[in-house]
Amino acid sequence: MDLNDIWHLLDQIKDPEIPVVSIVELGMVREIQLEDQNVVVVLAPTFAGCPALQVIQEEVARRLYASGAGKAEVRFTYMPPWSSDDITPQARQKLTAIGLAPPPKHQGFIELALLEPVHCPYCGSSNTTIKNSFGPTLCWAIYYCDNCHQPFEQFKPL
Amino acid sequence: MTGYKADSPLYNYLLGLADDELILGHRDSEWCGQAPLLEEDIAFANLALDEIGHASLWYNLVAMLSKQDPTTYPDQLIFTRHPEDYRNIQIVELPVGDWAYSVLRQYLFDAYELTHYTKLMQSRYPPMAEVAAKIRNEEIYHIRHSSSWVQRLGKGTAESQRRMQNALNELWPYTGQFFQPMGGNELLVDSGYVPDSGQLQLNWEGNVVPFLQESSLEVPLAPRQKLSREQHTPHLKILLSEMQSVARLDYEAGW
Amino acid sequence: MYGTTTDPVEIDNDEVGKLLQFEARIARGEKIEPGDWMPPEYRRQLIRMISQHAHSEIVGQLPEGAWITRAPSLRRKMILLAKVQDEAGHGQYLYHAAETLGATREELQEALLTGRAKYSNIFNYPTLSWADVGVIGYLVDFAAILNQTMLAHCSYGPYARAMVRICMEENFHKKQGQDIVITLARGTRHQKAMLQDAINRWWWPTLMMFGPPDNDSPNSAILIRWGIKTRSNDELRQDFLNKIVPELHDLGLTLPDPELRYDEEVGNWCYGAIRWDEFWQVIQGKGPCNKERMEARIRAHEDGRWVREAVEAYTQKKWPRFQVFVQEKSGAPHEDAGSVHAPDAEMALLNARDVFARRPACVSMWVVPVESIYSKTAQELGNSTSQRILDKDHSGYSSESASRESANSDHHSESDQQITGISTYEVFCKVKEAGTQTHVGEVEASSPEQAMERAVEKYSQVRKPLVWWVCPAHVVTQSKPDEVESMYAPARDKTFRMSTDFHTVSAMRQIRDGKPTTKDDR
Repeated sequence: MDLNDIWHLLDQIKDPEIPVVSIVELGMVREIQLEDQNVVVVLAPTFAGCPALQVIQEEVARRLYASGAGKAEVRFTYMPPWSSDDITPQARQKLTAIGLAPPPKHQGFIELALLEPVHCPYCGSSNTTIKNSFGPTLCWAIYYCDNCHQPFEQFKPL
Repeated sequence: MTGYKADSPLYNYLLGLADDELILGHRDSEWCGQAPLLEEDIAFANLALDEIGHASLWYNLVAMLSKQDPTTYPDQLIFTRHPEDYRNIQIVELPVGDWAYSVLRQYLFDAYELTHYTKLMQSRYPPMAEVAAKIRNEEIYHIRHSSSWVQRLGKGTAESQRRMQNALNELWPYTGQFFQPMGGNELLVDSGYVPDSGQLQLNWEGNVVPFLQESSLEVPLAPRQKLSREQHTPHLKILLSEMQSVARLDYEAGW
Repeated sequence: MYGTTTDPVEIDNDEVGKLLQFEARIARGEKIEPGDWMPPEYRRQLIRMISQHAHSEIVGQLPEGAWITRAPSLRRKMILLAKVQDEAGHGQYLYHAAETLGATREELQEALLTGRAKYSNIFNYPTLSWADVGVIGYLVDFAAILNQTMLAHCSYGPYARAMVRICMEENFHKKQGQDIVITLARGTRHQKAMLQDAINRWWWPTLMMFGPPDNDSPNSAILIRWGIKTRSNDELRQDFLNKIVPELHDLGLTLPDPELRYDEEVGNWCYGAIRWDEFWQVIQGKGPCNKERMEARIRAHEDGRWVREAVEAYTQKKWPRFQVFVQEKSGAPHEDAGSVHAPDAEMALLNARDVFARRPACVSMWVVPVESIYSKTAQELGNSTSQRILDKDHSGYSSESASRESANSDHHSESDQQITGISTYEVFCKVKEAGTQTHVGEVEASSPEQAMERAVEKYSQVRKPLVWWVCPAHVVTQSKPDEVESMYAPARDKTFRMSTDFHTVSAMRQIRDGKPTTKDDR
């Protein structure tokens, strides 16, 4: 098993609540340490209260062992904290494809990002209204498109 | 600093942070399904989950510090301790009251967290700095939410303003405790581990007082109580007896 | 065409053609989107299903929410909180999906609180132990997921897409519920007993979640024909059994059905008779928790009344309200259409266009700050009592604060005290209780009171108007004539908001005289 294999393996692990994107695409994988066949994977959690953290941790370890790792350790880091800017362009496209608006890039200025118009993932219009800055999960806000008349969720900038 | 033991200043500090978040998160969760608007059922569930997530981060540090298993020690602390061993401030254990009371308590606490964690991000104790940085980002959503409610209710109708003023009169005396450190805190300040409380208090008041006034509320003049984190109101006992009730059925069992 | 008859009674040819086209689209697997033509019954069924789904998510917070405070570990507490957030979030999302069909949140909420609207029966059962939380997450969510996976193929675009999203998130929660069940099943004797007791109580209600047997479901045929449902109740129920029974047996659990056995030949788990009389009792409100659930929601709603009033009052102060008058065609008078909040008149016109000009029939629009309108009822004119400032509440929230304001405040707003000399006042009046304020003309006057007198003099003819409004002409902001094309053109494509798309009297009669739809279709 080499580093490439491990990156590939991690890219198969989808976020349990957004199963179209992997933890790699979400920008959660910070570092992989490989020594002989002992692996340490360092992840940056998206939201502190994310209920899927333990599930992801267990899944990573399980797959590493299944691929022949001697020892598999999964650690969390907050330095620096995960940012929604870390979400890859491919992930952004995948989110839009299933009707989820990706977060705007904020470069640390979250309050400013919250003022930007949000584009409807279905019709592209910016004629959208925020209905709730809290949604079904920690990462979503609820919007409504006044152009094509559909509700949609937006990944909150963090 | 080496050789940590329970009740060392750093342990107590971290435990205080963790207990504050846990107890407030627990109170927030009491609104689920009962909020005045569906949007707020969602908001309070979100807030509660965030707070408890933050508590979890601090409890993990506590476990690390005491060289305990982080997968079991936090639950031990949460579900077996008696009220007198909890180290949260009293304002978070007060019951939810009405909507005005809850959003105001949330605002006062959120403003304190923002001030506090902004400084704590610069702690010379890296694990604490890391967690503070993570939490602080999420607090942006909290303060936007709670401050907008304070404004709407303070300036809304005569009734909402009356309720907000009552809530402020009741809660204000408890806010002094945000800035009352536990014994041994000077050590932590001198080491650059934690910020100075006096400075935090000035920052906090500088933000909160004008905001409350803009929201058409009168800040009480009565002096704030000197409270200890080792003492609690009767509310904590009731809260914990509910919180711990299922776990107590069998502490040895896995849940 | 509707129900079980095949003769199109009292439907004109145009409607027949549209219906055939519509059904052909569905047969081709096309999605129906907001704005597409749809038969009124399709719209009605969808609103019913979507709102029922939304109500279920919201009421569903209660049985589990009660255990968040008692969750026995930090992890379980967080996961349960996430689940309740998920349910409430989906509820809100689905209310917005119902809005795409023309239903308003206020209508739907009122229907729920007054007992007219239904929610999934399963939430009328109490959660008596921690094990119940696991069982709901595992069994009930699994059943819901099967149903939702089916609905993800629904012909109505926004609902189908919502189901895809919801399933993604709910799959996670079902696994967590399963995890609790597994933990208890492998736990202490006491935990196993707690779990078995929960299974015994939830098993039959879960089977009933899929709705009555196919031959007892009046709506099924039309729902399947129109692609709203793609699988029958019995099919889904069988699928559920086949998947879950082996898993539960593997965990050492028994099921409270002595007739449960596996039929090798058909490859199905066969089950005993479901007590449908219990199902109907519960649906009709006699279940163990119906009253409690509704009381909780009603209480939250009532206790929250002052909060919503405060929000409305605050919004009004920051974003004043403007009365909107719409002219449907050239030569017709402007008529009151309602009101909008906006920071200024220009924004009010834009907002008003979005809210009121969806119907193609709108060539011009006026907006007037609500506090500039002076109104008198015919009765007040008769008694010569003082005027009251108009402050009608259109929001659906209580108008207590509004009437308090109008009772306390004196008549004139600041802007009108600046009026000196003669100016033009626009006059509106309403002749029928159920009618709307309609523009009748103008008068010249030096004050609102004088304008009112002159208006009554000039326009009181054979029909006696019930209510009079006057406002200074200079506070009226009009849409510009050349804006008509660009502002209102998009509305022409959005036919779904035309009144012809809603129930015609004949269609209603047809449905009423066909199969009654008083029972839940599932």
